[in-house]
Amino acid sequence: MTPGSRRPLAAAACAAALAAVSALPAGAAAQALFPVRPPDLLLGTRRDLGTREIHGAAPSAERRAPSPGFTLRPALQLGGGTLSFGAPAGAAMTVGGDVRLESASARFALVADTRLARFVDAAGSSSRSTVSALARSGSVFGLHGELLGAASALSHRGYGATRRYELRGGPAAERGPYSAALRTGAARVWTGQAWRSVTGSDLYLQRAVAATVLSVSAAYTLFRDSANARQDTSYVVAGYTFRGTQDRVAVRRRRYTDVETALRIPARRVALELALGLRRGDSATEGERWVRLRGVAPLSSQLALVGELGRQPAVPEQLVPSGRFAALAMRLTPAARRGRGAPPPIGRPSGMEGGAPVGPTLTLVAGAPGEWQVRVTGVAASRVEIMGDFTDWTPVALERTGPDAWSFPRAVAAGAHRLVLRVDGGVWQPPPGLPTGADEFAGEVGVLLIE
Amino acid sequence: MRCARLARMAGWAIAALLGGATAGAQAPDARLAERLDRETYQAVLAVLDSARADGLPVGALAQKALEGASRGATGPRIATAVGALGARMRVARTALGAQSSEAELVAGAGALYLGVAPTTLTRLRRSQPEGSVALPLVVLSDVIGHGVQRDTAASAIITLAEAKVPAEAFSRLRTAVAEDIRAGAAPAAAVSMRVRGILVGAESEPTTRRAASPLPRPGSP
Repeated sequence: MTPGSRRPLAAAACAAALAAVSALPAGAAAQALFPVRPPDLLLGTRRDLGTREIHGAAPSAERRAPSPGFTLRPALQLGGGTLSFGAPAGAAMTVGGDVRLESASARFALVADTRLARFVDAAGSSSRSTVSALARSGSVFGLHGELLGAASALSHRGYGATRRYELRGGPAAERGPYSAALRTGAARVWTGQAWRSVTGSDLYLQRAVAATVLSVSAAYTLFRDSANARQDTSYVVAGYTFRGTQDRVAVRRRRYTDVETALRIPARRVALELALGLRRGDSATEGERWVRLRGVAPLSSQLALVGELGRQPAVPEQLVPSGRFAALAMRLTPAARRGRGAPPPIGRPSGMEGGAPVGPTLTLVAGAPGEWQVRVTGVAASRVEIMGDFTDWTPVALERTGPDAWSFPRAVAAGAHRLVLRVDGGVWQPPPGLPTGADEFAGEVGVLLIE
Repeated sequence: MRCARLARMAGWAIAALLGGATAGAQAPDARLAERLDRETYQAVLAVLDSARADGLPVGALAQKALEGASRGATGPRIATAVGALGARMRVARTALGAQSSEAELVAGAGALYLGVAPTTLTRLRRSQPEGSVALPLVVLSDVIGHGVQRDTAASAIITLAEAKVPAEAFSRLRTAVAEDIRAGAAPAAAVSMRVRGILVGAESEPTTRRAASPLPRPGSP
């Protein structure tokens, strides 16, 4: 093993140490067996950088009560691997981060991500940064419109920097386990030498079978390519040859079609994704085939091990060659933060499987027949108030029964009660651990069902 | 003499009963009159009277108006919300049956507000003709609120109900799906996987134990 190839392994070891330091209690780890689904681990030369992740990750714009606020999800990745894009494979350390901003109404999502690969043989570095935005319309007969915009910058060692600005839109539909989207759009691409216009369409189909997701996508791309040509203008007069050449720029249309099938299988402790792709191009564009395998193994609710290997097709309009890659990384995803209008939760919800409740908890204690006492624990505050159906929606201060324990001073009868909680005069919000229901007035309320 | 005394006592008893009933019926009206402006109060009162005439429980409707008043909503918005809730409760009663409890009607109205089809409520009732469907409906609304598509969520809840899983299984589903989605899982895949896990676990339990499981208390360990 050469010294240069030890560095990606060292990076992976550091990431593993990071995982050990940030590991959550075992009970919480058992909760998070379902994998996270990060964007491209490596530089990835996909044309729709980020947009497919938005389509796959954002919840459907269902007809639900509009609620204010947004959710911010940052993530950080550290790892290493080997990359080869038009050059011999080289070992590289990779670092990246992404931020996902989603509105609570699922009408808007913004994803910004950046990846950097530093090659250990000091032959430079490669990087990719992308900002993608998705806007969704309301749903009519199960159909809604989507508008996607993306801006990306990509640089590969020795290949110069390319930029891409893209806008696409079209209808999308979701019904039961099926979802589909048809998008058409255009892009302006800077190849490092000249600007180029690109148009294209893509069709995306997806079906969920239990927890397995099968998707098929087809993308058609058309762009103009120019090439310098030297034309021989020699002619012969009276036996004498007059030689000449003329340089001109030959413009031609190039087109290609990509078809990719992907299968996502969440297993017990690791989620696998296998993608197979095929390209058919015109006489000027080579056909290609590619395979990509990705695995995500969550270690806790915030930490996951991500591995990826395969081959990425070229992006002809951006003069980006195809390449092979294999990499491993640790992905750290802190808890999502809520923005304006959606107050921060009081605490982690209770009722964790396999362990004692942690954090604020609302419990019921039997009182007289048909009546219950409402108690709240795990809230260290100076004042806790409750408001709901059983208070005629008048704020009632809970009585302190311990350092972080509170009790509602009246008995509550059986039934379905809507309620909210407030701590130290803050924002009214659903009590932790309770199911929530949409509220026509201010967002969400907790639903306490006593039968 | 004795008959007149008995008649007088019966009259007083009847008057006391009627007086108590009237007082009970006036209690929400009095609270509404205190908290709502005149126009809104009249509009809400009309909705309550109509609901009462249809045999719908009016408690939830009155609470919706009080909630709106506490939230600072405008009068027209309160009246609209109360009227819409009354309409949804009527649909829920048609779908769930006239013998449904108030909790079931409230939970059903909550699910209808999120776009759940009335046929889903009917299928739930058919899956549990004897037991209460309030908890499955509450969990259905909660899961949809977490971003699961309503068709997927409805299918999951109905699957569990038809499998006669214990009531705490619905609470487990709600908690687990919320955790999975917070961890970054796709909502549809999260609920599908958790339903499959519950069904696999349920198949290994004796049928008698499944049927005897008590209803859970929210937040209890």
